[in-house]
Formats: sequence, structure tokens, C-alpha cells
Amino acid sequence: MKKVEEKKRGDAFCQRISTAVWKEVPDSDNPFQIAEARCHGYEHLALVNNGSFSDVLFLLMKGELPNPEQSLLFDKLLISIIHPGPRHNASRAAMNAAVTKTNVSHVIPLALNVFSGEFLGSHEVFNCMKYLERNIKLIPSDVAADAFKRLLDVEGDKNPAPGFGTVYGDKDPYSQKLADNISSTCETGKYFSWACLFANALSEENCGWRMTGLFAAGMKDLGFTPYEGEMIFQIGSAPGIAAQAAEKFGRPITDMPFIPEENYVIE
Amino acid sequence: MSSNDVLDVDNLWDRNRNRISSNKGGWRIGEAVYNQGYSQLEDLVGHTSYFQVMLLNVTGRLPDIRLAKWLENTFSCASWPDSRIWCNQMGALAGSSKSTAVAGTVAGVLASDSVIYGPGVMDHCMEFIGNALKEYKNGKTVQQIVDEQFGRKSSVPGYARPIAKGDERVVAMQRVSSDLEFVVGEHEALAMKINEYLSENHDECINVGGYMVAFLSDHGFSATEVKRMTTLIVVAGVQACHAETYDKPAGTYLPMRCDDINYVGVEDRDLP
Repeated sequence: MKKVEEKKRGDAFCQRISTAVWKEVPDSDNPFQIAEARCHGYEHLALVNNGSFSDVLFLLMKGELPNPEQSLLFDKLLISIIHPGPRHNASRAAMNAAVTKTNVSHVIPLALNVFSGEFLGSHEVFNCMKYLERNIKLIPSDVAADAFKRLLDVEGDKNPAPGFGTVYGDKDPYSQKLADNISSTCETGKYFSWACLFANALSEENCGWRMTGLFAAGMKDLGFTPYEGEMIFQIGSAPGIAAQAAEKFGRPITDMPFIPEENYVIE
Repeated sequence: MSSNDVLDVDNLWDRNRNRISSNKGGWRIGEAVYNQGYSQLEDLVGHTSYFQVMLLNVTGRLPDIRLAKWLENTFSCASWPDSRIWCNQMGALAGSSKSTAVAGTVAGVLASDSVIYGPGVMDHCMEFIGNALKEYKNGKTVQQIVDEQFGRKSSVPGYARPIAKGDERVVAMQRVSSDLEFVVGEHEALAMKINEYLSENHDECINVGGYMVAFLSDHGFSATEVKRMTTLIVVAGVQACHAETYDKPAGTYLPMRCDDINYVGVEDRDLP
């Protein structure tokens, strides 16, 4: 090509950002400052004084406050995933950042980057919610049988479906325990019921729930989209990751393992 | 000793506990830093460019300097100091918030992992041109290939870009390819035939990503490798935009009055 003619597409970009989430009433003296703020119509200060964090998080995303059953389910889901555990790669990233004196502003962002993956990370929640949407009208045991047929014979964990499979080679008993707890203490809906049957069918091949799967199923029953579900999973797991980093702050680099020479093999 | 303490050598996870096995390399303290058969400090530093080392790290193959220079120029093509470009805007907003250069730059790089621009589109473009070449060799015409793509999707990967039609960066990269004495390969030749057809019939042209993946396919790189090598392709543009706003008074990059936001939500209401 000798020369290319570049021309504007002429897209009709908006002049102002539109939102239904948050309303800021300008201060009468300085229009950049806020006199009053409202979240989906409710005065922010009224929410500060009368709402819980999880209820207002639900309101922000859904536009309405949760009813008592939704509130209970949402809160239990959030506490179920509040900490991926100190062995999770995201927690280890946060702890390593803490002992190596990484700028504190970066600790949660970098750990959530590690936490964004498709294996035991936030994108597995997204993929699982999509998977549930695609399969909800099918019979769980049929979907499980089909998933096993497609399963790749590769080393490592079995991944018959996002949010389900093995963890460290076996069905994950702790995720099962958390899922059972949600089932027995909350009013769940068709997605969680479907996922319970699906996990049960997967157990024939030593597979089952993952934390990501139980969160995804619960979020579908609460009416969240996969996009919202992934972000709330990140928000929900950040406290545990943060606590691990905070605990390590001020500790020397020797407070975290550094693999010795003899265990570092260059092939 | 409990059964939990027994090392099961057949267990993948037990085998990797407290042990790293790397085919990339590593630091032998007091000896050398090894990188895939090279001594990093003796063989690479001072003898190769940064882009050669980056390509070695990503692909396991040390390319010649021409290819590294070519790739470096694609980074220059995608690293503009215009803060209206979305990834750059992350840097500008971070700078205006007095976030560190690292935070702002990383924010911009993350933003570029998109399916409409940046390294996030590379695998789709690569898949398209790879399949197109197979079909072309099997007898399909350019028109058939394009029409079938439009039957499946609303665009042809590598042949559209946001904001503008036409991409001057392709011409710039063709000049770079020519100056570095690269010969046009079969993917690139087909890519330009598709460009001709699309510009004549659909008012769309090849973009720099489309050109890049065709060139890199001709040089034997996989989609995964291309995505990895272009991870930081926008980085210098983001850095420029962060630096500019960081050096100005805080909060003065595109400040907004309250009523610059168009509230479209529900009316004021009381808590139940």
C-alpha cells in the first residue's frame, strides 16, 4: 500500500455520561461539589445509617434493595468466599508483595490480577454463570455425562465444566460443605438446585463443586449477570487477601519461603 | 508420621511441593543467570536488544535483530501520547489522581486487554488469517472468504478499527518491513488481497493488528506467542499520558461538575 486515507467514522459519541446508579446534587456555591448523593433513589446518608454493606452492594448492582431472603443468600455467599485461603495464589502474591515492601496501593490490585484466572479465580465465576445459563433447561446428569465425554486427558485437575471439577486431584470436600450450608440455610432458586444435581452427577468421576461454582450458581439465582458476578466475586474475596497482606506488613522477606537452590531445577 | 506427611511421588501436586522445575531458566547464585541455554549476562546483555530477549523469553527462540526491530516498531505504532485513547486515558486518570507511574501504566495495559483493540484482539485476527489462507489454498476466492465471515460475524478480524477507517500504521509498518528487507509471505499477501477487496466493496481497510498477525504468521509464530509478545504494546503511550497529568495539578484532567453526569435513574425515594 502506498498511502491510506484515514477518515473519521463519525460515531455519535455522547456529550455526557449517563447513569442510573448514583445521583449527585450539586452544591449551590460550587457545582463541582456534592450537596446530596443518592443511590438508585435512596439518600446515601440514609443508607449509611440504616443499611448493611452487603445490602447496599446489592442495591448498587441490582437497583433495588434485596428482600430478606435475597439478603441472607447474598450475605452468606459473600462470607463463603471472603477468603480464598492463605495457599491460594492470590493470597501468596499479596503476602509476597507485603514482605517485599511493595507500595501498599498495589497489593490488592496485583493480588486481584492473580485472582482473575479461569481456574479458582474470578473468570471461572463468569464462565460458570454463562455455562449455567446455557444448560439450565437440560437435565443435569445428561450435561455431566456429555461433559465427561469431552474431558481432555491431560495432566492436572479435571475441568468438566467451569466452576466444577477436581481440586488437587479430587472432589473438593470444603466447597461441598459450603454448598450444603447454602442449600440448608438459604432460599435458593433453580440455578443452585440445578447445580446441586450437576455436582452430584459429577461425583461419579470424583468431581464436584468448586467455590467459584457455588458462588456462580447463587449469583444466578439472585439475578446477577456473569459480568456482575465476576466483579462481586473479586470484591467479596478481597478482604481475606488483604488480611493476609496486612498480617505480613513489616515482616522481613524471610517470612515467606524462597525456594532453596537444590529445589530449583533448571531443565 | 501421619499419612499426610508421606510424599506420594506419583501425585502431581506432591511432586511440585517446595520445588520449581523450569525450562526457562533461573539464577544460580554466584554462578550465572541462565536463560534457555544462554548466560543472560554474558551472552545476551550487550549483544542482543531488549526485544530479542523478550521474544526469547516468550517463545523460547532467540530471533535475529531484524525481527526484534520490526516488533519494536509495532510497539511504536501502538503507543501514542493521546489520552483520548482508552488505555491511555487510564494512565491520564491515574496521573491526575496522583497514582504512581507503575499503577497508572499497569491500569492502561490492563485496559488494552480488550476484544475491540490492543493485544486482546490478536488471537482472533490470527485465527481469521490462518483459516483464510487454508481456505484460499483449497480454492475459495477472497470474496467467498469475506462473505462467509460476514455471514458469521459483523466484521472481519484485523480489518476494522474504532473511531476511524483506514490505518496509516500499516503503511508505516510496510515501510519498516521493506527497510529490514523482509520478503512478503503468503499470509501477508493474502491479507493485502483481502484488504483490497474490503476497501473496494465494504469501505473497510486492514488495520495494523491485521497486518501484524499476517506478518508474524509468515514467520511461524503461534497465536499464543503473538498475544504474549504484544502484551505491552500500548505501554509507552500510557506512560506519556500518565506523566503529563501527574505533572499537572491533581484532579484537573477532564474535571466534571455534578451536572455533567446525566442521571437517568429512579426518582428520589425513602427507605422502606
